[in-house]
Amino acid sequence: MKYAGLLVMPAGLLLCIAAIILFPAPAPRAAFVLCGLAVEAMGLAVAVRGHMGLRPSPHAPVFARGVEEEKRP
Amino acid sequence: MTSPAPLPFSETSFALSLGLLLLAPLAITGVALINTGLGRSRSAAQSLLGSLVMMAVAVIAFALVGATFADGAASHVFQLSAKPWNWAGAGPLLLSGLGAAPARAQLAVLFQFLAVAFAVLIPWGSGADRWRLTAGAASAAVLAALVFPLLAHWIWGGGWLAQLGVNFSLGAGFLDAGGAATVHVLGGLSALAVVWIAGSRKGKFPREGLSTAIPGHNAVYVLFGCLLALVGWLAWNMAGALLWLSDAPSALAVIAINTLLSAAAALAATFSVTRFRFGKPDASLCANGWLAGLVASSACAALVTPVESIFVGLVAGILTPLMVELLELALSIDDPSGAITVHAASGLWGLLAAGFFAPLPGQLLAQIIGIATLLGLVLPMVYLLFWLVNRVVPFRVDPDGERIGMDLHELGGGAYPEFVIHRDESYR
Repeated sequence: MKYAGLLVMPAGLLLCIAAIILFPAPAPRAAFVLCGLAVEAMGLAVAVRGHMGLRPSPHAPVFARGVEEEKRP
Repeated sequence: MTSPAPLPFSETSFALSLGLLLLAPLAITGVALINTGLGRSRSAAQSLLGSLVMMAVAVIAFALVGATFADGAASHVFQLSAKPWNWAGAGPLLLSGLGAAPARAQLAVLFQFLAVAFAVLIPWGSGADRWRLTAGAASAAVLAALVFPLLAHWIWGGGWLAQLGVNFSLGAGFLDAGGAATVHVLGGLSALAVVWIAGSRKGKFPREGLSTAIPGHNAVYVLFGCLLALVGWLAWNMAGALLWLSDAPSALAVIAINTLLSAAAALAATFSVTRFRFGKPDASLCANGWLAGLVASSACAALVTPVESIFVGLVAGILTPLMVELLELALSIDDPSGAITVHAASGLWGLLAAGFFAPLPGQLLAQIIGIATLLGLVLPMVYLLFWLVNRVVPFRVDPDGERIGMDLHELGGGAYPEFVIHRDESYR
């Protein structure tokens, strides 16, 4: 998930760059740049969500919580 | 491609810039103290030594490799849609010929040296208590040799972000006189990458219940660091305006006032929010609020009025405690120094505010494209590079090292040898 999110973020930047090249008029240019930024925000959200998935769940079975935690005194 | 002849730079501007740049390292000192104070006592010496090591590695890597790409005098350019895209500097290797360069160019290189030393220091606080010294040094080298120089060239060296105004009629191009993007957002996004790769401190997020509070060990370091940082920031913003915006020396007083007002408003806002939420003001969050105001001012102190500065600081100060809480409680991001909030989020807000308040048509869009570059290119690039570094030099210390503390594990002695270090409750 995290890697997918990080891959989506450059796609958002490419949208922004395409917008300033393709649209000389201010309104569509601004709209497409904002769309690019929104794509980046979605990518970031997916990456953050992927990081949250690494936190051990209290409902997960004991064997799935990682070896390190089992070694705790 | 060779850039047009530089603007005239008076002797007064030269003397002022040099004097201010000699004061600027106080901002770095302040942040190093804040990082140390917000970490645990058993990692304090490693934290402060790490700050020195990372700065040393960064300036050497920048001198050997990065300065070539950051150079603004000569550049690599490609054509796309009949527009020049200036993507990297093509300066001389190993800073050769620097002594014969114009005074302004020499000061610009000095500014960049200080900026790279500052930028690599910011993620160090976020990796406190688990990020190994050698891994930190390796990451600093990568940032200083590859990422910072590109960003510095794009923004300060006449690169494609600076030329958005000329090529696409977007205001004066992406503006960042005080290093909000090149130093703070880069440092803050690097901090996020470090936290993602190194993981959280042991015991921070237990299996059940809320996250464990691990308070900083020395509030005095933190608050004294804030006072030092103010002096450095004033110098930083004024020197940046002289060098990158070609402001006249007569404009410096307003820039200093704007910097102070932004920090003051941010502190007042954070003080009020924490007082309202927790019943008492929180010292470490107030320190973070103060810093957030300073970071936001880096982007816009030279472009806004004093009243607008107060607004910028207020927003930064309100956002800081809320975002620190959001990152820790909702998003499971363990950031001991709050660098992601203070440097990345406040820096982005300052850059956006500069676009809102700058009186040039198209400036807001130029600032948004700069922000999109930071999020869409710099963050994935830094994460990828750090991920590769982590494969060679593992970021995270082994569990035993984390238990006994980074001082004993990495340095063989503690910062406070006469103090009894209590057992950490989170290990039970």
